[in-house]
Amino acid sequence: MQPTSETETAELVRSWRQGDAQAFNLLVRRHQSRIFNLALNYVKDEEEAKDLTQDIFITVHRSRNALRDEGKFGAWLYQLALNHCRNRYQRLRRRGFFRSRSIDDPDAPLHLAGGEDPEQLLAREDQDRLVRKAIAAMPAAEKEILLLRDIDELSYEEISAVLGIPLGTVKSKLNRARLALKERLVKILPRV
Amino acid sequence: MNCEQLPHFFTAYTDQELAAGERVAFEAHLAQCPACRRELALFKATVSRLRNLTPVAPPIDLLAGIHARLAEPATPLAKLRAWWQEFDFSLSLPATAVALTTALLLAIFFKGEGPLPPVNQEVQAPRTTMAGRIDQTARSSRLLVPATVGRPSAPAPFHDWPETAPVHPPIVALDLFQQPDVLMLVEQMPAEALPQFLRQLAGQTAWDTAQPENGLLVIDLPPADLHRLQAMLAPLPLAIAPPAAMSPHFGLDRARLRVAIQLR
Repeated sequence: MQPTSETETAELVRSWRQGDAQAFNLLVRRHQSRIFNLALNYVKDEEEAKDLTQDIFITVHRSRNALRDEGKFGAWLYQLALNHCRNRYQRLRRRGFFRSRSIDDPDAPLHLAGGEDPEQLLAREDQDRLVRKAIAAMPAAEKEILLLRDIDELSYEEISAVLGIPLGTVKSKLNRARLALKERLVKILPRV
Repeated sequence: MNCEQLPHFFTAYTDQELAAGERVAFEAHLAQCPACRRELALFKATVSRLRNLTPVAPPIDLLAGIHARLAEPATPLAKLRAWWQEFDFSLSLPATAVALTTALLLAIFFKGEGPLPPVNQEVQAPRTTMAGRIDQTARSSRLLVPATVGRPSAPAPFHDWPETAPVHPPIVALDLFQQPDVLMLVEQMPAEALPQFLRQLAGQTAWDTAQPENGLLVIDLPPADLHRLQAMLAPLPLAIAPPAAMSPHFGLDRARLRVAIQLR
């Protein structure tokens, strides 16, 4: 799960909890890319993702004494991040944020001007952004398991710990989520 | 194996986790089915797409922004607002205070008086309690009355961390309210929105809906559909109790959930 060993992370967490401010900075730098991309894939907007990522790390800072096992910092961080992402997503959705940005309809066909070739259109429009758009529009349970497994490359055991669901359920949910995303991508990409 | 079964095993096959017999059957079907071969290829391509998504670099001022916000004085109101935002209450604080007070008064007024009748048995005599009103409606609307009513399922994991997500006591005492697993309060539902909402409810064949009285709806639905109900109410100011009901995992260990919706 971590780009560095869990032992190193646990030592950083220990130092941080003992008052070492630089240790917190190091923890943020080591995890900010993963958390920012998790947030971005969840809410599909860079400004919101930035704000959300800051919220997550601020909660991490304020909740440092709630972490029972320093060796489980990664799973704890992911749980905390996902909770923030879910809440932010729900709030934005209630306010019509995604509708106003056409994010909630990744199945909508591409609108081609007369004579435009879809391949050329997609060369202009970042295919990664289309994939992110499809992910962001999925139900939370499907979206999260795809983000954790196929983007953040957590093991099944780690995902089970983060989401609090049995190992077998992780695998079956993952399969369903991948099938659902496949169906979406087939509609919006000329070649998946 | 047949075409309908094969996709259920795609992940296990690509992870090389199929038992020997299953793998033989899987590959035997693939060998003779071009459609399934194509589906498996698309499935693998989808996973590959995900794994090859280029990460977006986080903003360079992310850490500085974190420190700036940590340095801000945390007034009680700022803490309350942050906690409120964390639980995604769309209502303003005063409006939700009114909504929660209403919920509590509603619970006290409609307190239940005993166990509910078993599942699928018609209630013979209407009672004056909330359960009774629902029973009375149930006979005409085929609403099934659950045999047991318990507390909501175990809260989502984040509720175990007192500093990140304070654990809330139920908005209403469940012993008084008894039936609903989830309470939703809708503030200011426009008159034109209600008929449309009721039509949407009628279209949900797996849901049972009752309207014991004006402004109150009771819905029995599969736990996995709770988020869909929330989505149907999404544009409106809405308060939900318990907060764990906003988690996608809420109530998944139960066969059905009962949701009470108070419309104002």
